[in-house]
Amino acid sequence: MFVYDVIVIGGGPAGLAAASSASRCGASTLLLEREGALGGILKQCIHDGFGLTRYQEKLAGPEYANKEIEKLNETTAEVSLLTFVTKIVKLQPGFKVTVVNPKGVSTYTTKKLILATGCRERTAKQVSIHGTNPGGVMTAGQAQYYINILGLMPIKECVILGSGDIGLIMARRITLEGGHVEGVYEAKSTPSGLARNIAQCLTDFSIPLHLSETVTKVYGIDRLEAVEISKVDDKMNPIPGTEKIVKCDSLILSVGLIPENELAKSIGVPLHPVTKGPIVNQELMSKISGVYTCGNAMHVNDLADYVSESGEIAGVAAASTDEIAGVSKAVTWDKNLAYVVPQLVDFAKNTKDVIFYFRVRDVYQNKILKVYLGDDVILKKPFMTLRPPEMERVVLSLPNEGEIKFVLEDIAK
Amino acid sequence: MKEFTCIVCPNGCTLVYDEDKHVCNGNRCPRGARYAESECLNPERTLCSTVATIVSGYPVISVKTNREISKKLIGEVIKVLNRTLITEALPIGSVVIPNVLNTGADIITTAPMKKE
Repeated sequence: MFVYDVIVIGGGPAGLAAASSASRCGASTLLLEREGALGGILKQCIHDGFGLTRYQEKLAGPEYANKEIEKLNETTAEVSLLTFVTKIVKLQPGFKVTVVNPKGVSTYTTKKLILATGCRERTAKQVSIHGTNPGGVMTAGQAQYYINILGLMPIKECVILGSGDIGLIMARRITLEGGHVEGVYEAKSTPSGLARNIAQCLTDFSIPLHLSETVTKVYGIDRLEAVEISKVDDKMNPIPGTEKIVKCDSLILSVGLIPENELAKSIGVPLHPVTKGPIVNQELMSKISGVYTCGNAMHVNDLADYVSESGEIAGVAAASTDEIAGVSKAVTWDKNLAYVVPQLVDFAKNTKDVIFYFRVRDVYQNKILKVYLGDDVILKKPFMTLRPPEMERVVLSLPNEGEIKFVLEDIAK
Repeated sequence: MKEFTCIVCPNGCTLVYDEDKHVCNGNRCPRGARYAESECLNPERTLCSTVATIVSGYPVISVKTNREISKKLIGEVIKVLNRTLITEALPIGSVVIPNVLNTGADIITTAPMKKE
């Protein structure tokens, strides 16, 4: 009665792994990708460091994508490129997906849906930068696309706002391509990117990192001419009188990523306020039965390897015909943790080797993570250092039904 | 004493290396100690960049050194890459420049190119 068992939306690392594993589990699978090639953002991430966990080797982004595409090509999953999803309608059961592609408008029905739509960069408008609207203000991903895919160099002298990983990677890339990076400015008092990226992208090239400073204004009519930098207080509010003007022709923004969930919202999938992704159970199924999510659409990851891992979990789960849904228990966490994914555990489903991802709210030293199942402590894991930019991962087996709580305590206790 | 961040894996350990005694502290694995030693004697990096092509649909193609090269040579290798032009569609992993600047590393492509 359905055209497909599983439709996967998005052909980045999450969607590739989801489609591949769903197909390997015997589901008739269709992968929809709006661009002309698979791989998602990995296509423009030409730096290395991908695959250390999944392949035990250090790969460039396109190499990692190619391995995932080859895995998918071994399966019977169908791929439709240049295909944009315009509408999803929930049926009882299943879904009707309307798409536009070079062949015209088509509609497919599917039993299950996997949303692997990735994330988007926050823009200048979302960080309240005042002033004119000149050329030269771009997100780090846009700069990356110009340089690494189009082979263009639109930057001579630039300021980078935000110390997220893509911003750090681009600081190095712009320098290698002959541009000059005046500095990286971060409104927070700690860097947002991984420590190794600060070392190999900034320290290696003597690029200064200014913490607790932000861009408050841009100048220029056709092209950016200068930015105003201000120091900020501990609530990240600019301090009057600390303004300085820095001349530059480009402002690169690396100010955070937001999971892309417009399609999820259109069918009423409840999102989590912190992750900005769907609330999911351990099979990565949202609160709408039959709708799964994975990768950066679920929560922003810092390693592609874990994006692929979550894609596999969603793919395997969506391919199973097991429709029994039990009572879901909520996972809770104390104030030291920013979030835990999955946020729900369905005790009618597999509860062995469940993977949990979490992030902390602040920088912590010498802590112990305790996970409670009811009154029992089922995991104690010490951490020398925990930093908000670094996602952590634990694997838990839940032998009996109960409330699950993540607690972070001082190691001395 | 030299203090720096290990770049071998995403843990990013803070390493403290004693250059006289050749002792490393702060590393969570042996790779960190090896990194600290090489970082003090002759720092090495994998270089990732792009090379221009005349193949339709590929203004540039991504490349990397297939092993780490001396950090000091990165600027010179970039100059070589900027003078290089790829004239045909190459499969992923193709050697574009063998033994670039006698470093022992080949420049290889890191993305596939489809023929028109």
